[in-house]
Amino acid sequence: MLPRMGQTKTLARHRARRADPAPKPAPRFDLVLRGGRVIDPAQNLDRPLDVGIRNGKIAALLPTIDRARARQSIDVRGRLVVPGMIDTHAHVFQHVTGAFGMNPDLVGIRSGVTTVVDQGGAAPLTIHGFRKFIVEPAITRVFTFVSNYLVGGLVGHRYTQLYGPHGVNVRETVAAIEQNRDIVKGIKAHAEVGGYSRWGIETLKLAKDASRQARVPVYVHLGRLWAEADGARIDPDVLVPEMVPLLDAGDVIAHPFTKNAGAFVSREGKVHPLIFEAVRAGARIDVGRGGHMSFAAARTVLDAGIVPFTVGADVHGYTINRPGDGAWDEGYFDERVARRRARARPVGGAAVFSLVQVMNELLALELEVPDVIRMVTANAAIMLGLEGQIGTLAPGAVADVSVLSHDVGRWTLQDSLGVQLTAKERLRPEFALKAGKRHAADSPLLFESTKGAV
Amino acid sequence: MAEAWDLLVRGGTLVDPARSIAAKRDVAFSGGAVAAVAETLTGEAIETIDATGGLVTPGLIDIHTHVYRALSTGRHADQTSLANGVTTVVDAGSAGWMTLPGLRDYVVPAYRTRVYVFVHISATGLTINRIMPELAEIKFAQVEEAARAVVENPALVLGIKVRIAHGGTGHGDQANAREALRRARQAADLARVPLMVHVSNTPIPLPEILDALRAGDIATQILNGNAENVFGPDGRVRREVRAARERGVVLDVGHASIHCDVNVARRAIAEGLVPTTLSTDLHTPPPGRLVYNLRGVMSQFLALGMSLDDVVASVTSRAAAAIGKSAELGSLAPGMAGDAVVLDLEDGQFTYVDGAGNEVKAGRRFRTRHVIREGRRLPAAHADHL
Repeated sequence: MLPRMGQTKTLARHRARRADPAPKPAPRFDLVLRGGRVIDPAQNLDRPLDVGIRNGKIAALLPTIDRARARQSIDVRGRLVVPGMIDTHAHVFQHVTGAFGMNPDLVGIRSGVTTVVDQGGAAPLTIHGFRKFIVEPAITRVFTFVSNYLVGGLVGHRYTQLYGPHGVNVRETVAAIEQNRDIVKGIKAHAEVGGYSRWGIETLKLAKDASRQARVPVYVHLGRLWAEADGARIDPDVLVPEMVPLLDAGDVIAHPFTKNAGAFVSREGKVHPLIFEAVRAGARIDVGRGGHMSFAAARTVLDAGIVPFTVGADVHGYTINRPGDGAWDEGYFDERVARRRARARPVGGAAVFSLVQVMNELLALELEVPDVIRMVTANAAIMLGLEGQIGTLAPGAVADVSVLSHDVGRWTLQDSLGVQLTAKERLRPEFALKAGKRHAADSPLLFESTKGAV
Repeated sequence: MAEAWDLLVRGGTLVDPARSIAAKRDVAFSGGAVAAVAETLTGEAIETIDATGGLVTPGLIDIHTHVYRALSTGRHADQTSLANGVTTVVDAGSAGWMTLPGLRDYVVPAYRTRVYVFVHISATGLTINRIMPELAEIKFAQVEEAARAVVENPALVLGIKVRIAHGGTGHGDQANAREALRRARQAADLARVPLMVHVSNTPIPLPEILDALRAGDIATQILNGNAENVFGPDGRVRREVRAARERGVVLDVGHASIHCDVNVARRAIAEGLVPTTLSTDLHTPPPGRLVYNLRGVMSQFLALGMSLDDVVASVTSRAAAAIGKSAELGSLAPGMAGDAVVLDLEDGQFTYVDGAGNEVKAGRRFRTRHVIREGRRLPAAHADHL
């Protein structure tokens, strides 16, 4: 996964020794990021530092690095320099999951994000293809929480019938994880009303069975996703008490701020008491933004003292442009329908385009910059079991770095219900380094996010 | 002195049913195409193959395979097909209209085999087939989307695929099967391409399916031994089957062991119903079940009484016609694509078994000596030997 750099140090010394007779000190760093505000929560760092990079790794963090010691320098004064950001909820199984799956580099490196975690696109039946066709060609580091269901997230999980216990095979899930430990870091499962009305909490039990056998966490989508079975009436607030006893420390609960029923905020408008118990027992919370942002629900959850552990933008095709449910029954060859499609709107009102956009929402909800940075770096690395390897700028770590501008002003944000909120600060990705190599944050999704939502 | 050919195949018996040739011929290739055919060619060639004692045929065409590895169902086309002389395969519905881009962009470019596609009317193709019939929910079948997948990929996609089968449209659900067939028909008409229908284990009467098919459409697994097969209540080949054949519906084998009953095939051939095309339905079967490659299927039908010329025609000229590629493939006339194979007919005692355990005893079988793709001989590769 991460590049091995064992021999290069000796090589560099060797080269230095046989340097030219007219001695000019050999540069010690391939690249230095100069003068930025370095925030690395893994090291409890937040101060102006120069970051020296050599052979794709972080080589030094120093107040000042002599210009002569750098082959190349980038002036990042006034910018935030943070560990390469990790999006813990992505959908990047492009070309296989219909309009749902995004290009990994579009939501990843070109959006200033060096690592993405696909949630449930790949499945035991398709993990080999996911590795070969998505993970290997991408510049962005791609990991996956493999789907609990054999087929994975086809058509953005719109075909409910694929996602019952009959579509789960614990033995194959465990095998898929064990054979692909380098890329599979957990299991994506669901606890939600539509599935519950058909099969109870059975699929989550199967996911936990596989998760314990393979010793990886589950990531649980909580909150309504599918419609109830015909005629079924489910009290959505039964989902939390059904789910919580099944979880172990390290498992992840997603979509705390959703507008949908059956999640953190009960019908009484309060955080379900068992959520506190789950957090005390070591469950972690991922924002999983997607179409799941109600500023009001977020306020309730945050005011109750529940803070997300990780962010997870949950950008997918439908957060950007979702055809209406009837569109498939009508005409591609019919111009009227084509026009209607052009007006298709993202699921849940406002569009979500990037991880940084969601970070800006959290800032507007009065979280602090270092806390939000921690969520997308140190905490995300912990969720993946990769702490110390990514998500930090500690010398020796791989040189994945995100550089962000941080502006003060007034911007209007909009949640999934169309409710507005004023932001007083704004982060924007400028570029990222992946293993020391620079990539511009030029994703067209970012342009949309600054124009449309932030 | 003439310019040197890339490849000269000398001394073999050319079997090219498209041109009614079954005689000693030398065949030369240049620029990826057939350059010359004559009783004796004396020009220079970069490489010369001695085909003495062998049969030289156009590259074989298997119109029913599955090659969508790693993401849906399928075998490695180069290992299972190309290495055995099958230079062209059709992937028959592994990809649905929604998952087609993965087959197109990830899988096909990695093959040297020529690959065409009949795209499934179901969004997900056969990826979900292990969990549920791919059209158990009829909303998976989208006419406009499937037609769009065809018209946006004209170089790759040649038709629409649907499986009218208990395992495809839902067990015992006749209404769903009829709606699936109707939508597949509509999509094919909208895109103006042939429709390929899997008819083995159909929940609706076979004549009803055939009634929906026109000249150029394909009924695959036509010699299956399930309840609704080619024989009527009187034990004779149904009138509707003969009528379909006469109006130009392609009757394809789609073997897969379980979809071709030896007794059905034997009786049908005895009644004069010879399949239009032999094909394999190559896929990854569950443990313990065999799926024969095209050489194996050809050997069986030779043993069942088809003539050599007929067997070769069914996987060259007739297969090319079935996929609308007669202008390029399925014959070794000068100017045609330089895809060819040198086969040996090996004597011995060979036994083939169908899904019901019936056996075909064969005294001869095909072996692949050389494979020629775009005018070049392929290095001997690892081939799956079934």
